[in-house]
Amino acid sequence: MQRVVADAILPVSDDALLVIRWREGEGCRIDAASPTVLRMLGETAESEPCLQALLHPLDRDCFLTEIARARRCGHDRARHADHRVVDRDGRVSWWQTVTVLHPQPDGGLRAVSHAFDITGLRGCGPPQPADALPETAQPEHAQPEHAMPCAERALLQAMLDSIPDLIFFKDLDSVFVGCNRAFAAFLGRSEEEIVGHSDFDLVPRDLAQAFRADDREALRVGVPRRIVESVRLPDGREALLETIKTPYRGPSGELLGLAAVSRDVTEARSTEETLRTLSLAVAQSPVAVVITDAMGKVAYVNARFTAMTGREASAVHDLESFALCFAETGSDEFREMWRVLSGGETWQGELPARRSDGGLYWASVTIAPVREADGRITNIIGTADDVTERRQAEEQMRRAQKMQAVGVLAGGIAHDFNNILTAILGYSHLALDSLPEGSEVRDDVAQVTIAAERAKGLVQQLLTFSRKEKAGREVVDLRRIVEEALHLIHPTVPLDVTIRFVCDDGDMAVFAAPTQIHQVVVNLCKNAVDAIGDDPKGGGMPRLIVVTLAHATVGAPKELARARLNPGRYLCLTVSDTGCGMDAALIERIFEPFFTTKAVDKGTGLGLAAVHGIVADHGGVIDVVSAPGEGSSFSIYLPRHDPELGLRAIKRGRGRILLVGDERTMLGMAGRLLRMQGFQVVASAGSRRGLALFTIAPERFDLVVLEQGPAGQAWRLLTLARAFAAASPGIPILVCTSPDSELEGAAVEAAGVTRILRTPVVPDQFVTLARQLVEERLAQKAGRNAETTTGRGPRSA
Amino acid sequence: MANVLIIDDDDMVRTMLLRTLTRGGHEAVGARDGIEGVDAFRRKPADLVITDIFMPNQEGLATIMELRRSYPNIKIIAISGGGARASLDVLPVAEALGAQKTLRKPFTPAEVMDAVRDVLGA
Repeated sequence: MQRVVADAILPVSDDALLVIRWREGEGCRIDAASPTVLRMLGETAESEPCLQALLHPLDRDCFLTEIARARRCGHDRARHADHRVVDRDGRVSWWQTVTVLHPQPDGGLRAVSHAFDITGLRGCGPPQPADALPETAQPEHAQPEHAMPCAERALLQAMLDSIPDLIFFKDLDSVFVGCNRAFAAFLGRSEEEIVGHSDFDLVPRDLAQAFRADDREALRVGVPRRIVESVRLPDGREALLETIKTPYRGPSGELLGLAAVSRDVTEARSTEETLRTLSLAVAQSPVAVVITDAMGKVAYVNARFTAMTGREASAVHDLESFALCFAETGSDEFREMWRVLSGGETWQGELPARRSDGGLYWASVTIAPVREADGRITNIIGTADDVTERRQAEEQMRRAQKMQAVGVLAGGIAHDFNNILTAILGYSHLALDSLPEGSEVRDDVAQVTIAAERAKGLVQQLLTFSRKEKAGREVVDLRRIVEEALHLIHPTVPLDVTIRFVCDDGDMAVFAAPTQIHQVVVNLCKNAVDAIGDDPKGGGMPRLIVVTLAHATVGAPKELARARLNPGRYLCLTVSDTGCGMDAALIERIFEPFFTTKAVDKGTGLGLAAVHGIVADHGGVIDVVSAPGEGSSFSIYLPRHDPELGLRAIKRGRGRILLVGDERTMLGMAGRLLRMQGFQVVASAGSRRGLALFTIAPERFDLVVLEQGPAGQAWRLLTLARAFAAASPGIPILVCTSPDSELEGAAVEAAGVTRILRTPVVPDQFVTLARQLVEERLAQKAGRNAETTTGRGPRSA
Repeated sequence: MANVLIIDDDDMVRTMLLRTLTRGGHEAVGARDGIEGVDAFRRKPADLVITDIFMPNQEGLATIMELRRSYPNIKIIAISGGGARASLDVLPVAEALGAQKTLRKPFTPAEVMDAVRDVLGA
């Protein structure tokens, strides 16, 4: 081996690397080799070192054929099937070799074979002595069973190549010893470019370092290791690779390297992310969600469901128990729900539901099948949303509209109806008077008067809804009204029902319409009597109505059972009974006009609605506390009359008011009202004359009242108001106009109009407002005078 | 016994009131609206006027004002069952304009007679 010693030792970083540079020709002469190979060839060889001598006789042809094939196919390298070599001592080793081909211009070939000794890996035991080798080629079946024939190896490789996952093998030094086609394609290299190289030759350095670290870790722990990493592909695409690196061992258990399978999980991961987002969204959904399997067995319950229904997830094990959270078995909704669901359709509905703590709420429930692409139902999803607030708002709107409709209706019919009733009532009474006592006809006519009286009451209650009807209000002692009303109702109360009246000491003044408050007390008491009922079979149950009147001062907004009380000083009138009580659904409706639980001849369905209307009109609040079998308690909070305001009300008006309008009637009436209150009034029937009067001496007036007839135009009124405001900035201007005139918003303000009163004007309200505006104006004037005085001070000094 | 002028456009109501007062021992005449009523009063002043408020041609408030201007000591009872379009409570206005008493329709003959007695007695 003299010839190769000097210049043919191929330096390699690692003794394990076997490199042979050789050339085509007889015996395939070796030009240079790495030290280990040189040692195998032996230094004392007589002949020139040649590759053929090194190759095992049985693998020699295969080896050379592989090279020939690679050349034919135009490859620049040949990847050999694992093959055997024999050293000069006759020891056999298994090599895995790749030969890089360097075809020469003269048609010859030079080549470099890179090999790894994989003897240990193949588990073929210690190297065998050369004499154990057969001299000649043996049939294939005579090979050791672990030695894979060329064809079998090719099959294995073909199988690996057919797997879409990336498969590669590395030795302990992280040098690739094999890979499949997918891996080669993934790297954008040929198999030959990979085998025999490390990651450092193939991928950017930082990535290679990371791979190397992963390899070391997998080898260190000695068990399969799963790594998910982001890799930039040769085409520039970022891909997420999931790699399982499994250390592989020789027959005696020694580590030989790593087998790895990688999969591009970019798609899967993004699907996973989407699923994760979806699952988080469902879990944290503001809507309660329950998912069952196709049979209705609950598979999932989100947190909102628990919060909304107050039921633990574990309490909902199937679709039926989900449905039962919102509807009762046997109820129409429940049956309908199942009918629809069993037809494979979506059921949707709004149901009054009860929380586990007993609280009522409205749930909007949807139960829908989840279908596979082929239409097969795989799951059922149930959602529920608390729509109590929306329902309440709708309910209020509906109720308000109903009240309004009743009001309009009442206003429309009241006039004619009252005339008719006057005639019926009048004539029947007249007839009654002329019929002999005790006669049958007299009794018949008496029935007519009773019926007419009832009709009269009905019309009165209907009228209560008409917002435009404002009974005259005054400062009244609530205690006196309640006492009067109780006195009135007393004869109609069954003897075995006790009415008790409890009243706080002190001032009980409210600013109210006494007849209306009277009606409130009477209606509530009648209601209480009806709730207690006729039949005293309550078995010792007290038959009692307690009426209390108390002071209530509210500091911060207070939530009542069914209402909200703003801060203020109130008088609280409560009527409690020991009657049958009401459930929540009933309480919801009791203030609705025409809603009644009573027999046709006993109730109009307007009593409580009237109470509600009156209390609201008085700026009060009504609250109800009741439960079935536990009686009911109605509380009415009326704002206490402010004695300060009261004093002012009593005080005679002072100041001068200019009245301008086109209707003498109206002027006369308003003028009279104001004069009665002690104001000086100047009335002008024409607007030009009125303005002239004003401009001569604006300081004489403290308030201008402009009255616009039904035919008046808004722009004329506004122009007039502006003229007054211009003549005396700050002069309060009160406009009385019809309800349908288009005096609104900014234009009105710009015109200098202070307040607008819509006709019909309630005298009380008109006088009170006029007084208030005059008082303010006078105070303003006084303030200005004071300023002027102090302003003059220094000058005169 | 007193002379009473009844102004109401509703025939049934007017007739009922006429009968009530006649049976109560008074002399009563009727008018269908404010204009007719004022005319009747000018021809033959009555001790008491009972007038409706909402009437065609001349309504009750104007009638009250006109009568009171001419006859400051006139005694008036205003009656009303509310307006046709707006159920406006005008009776307090009538009172402010000088009606001694107001009655809300519907009322019974007894209530009318009580009111008449009150106003005439005062």
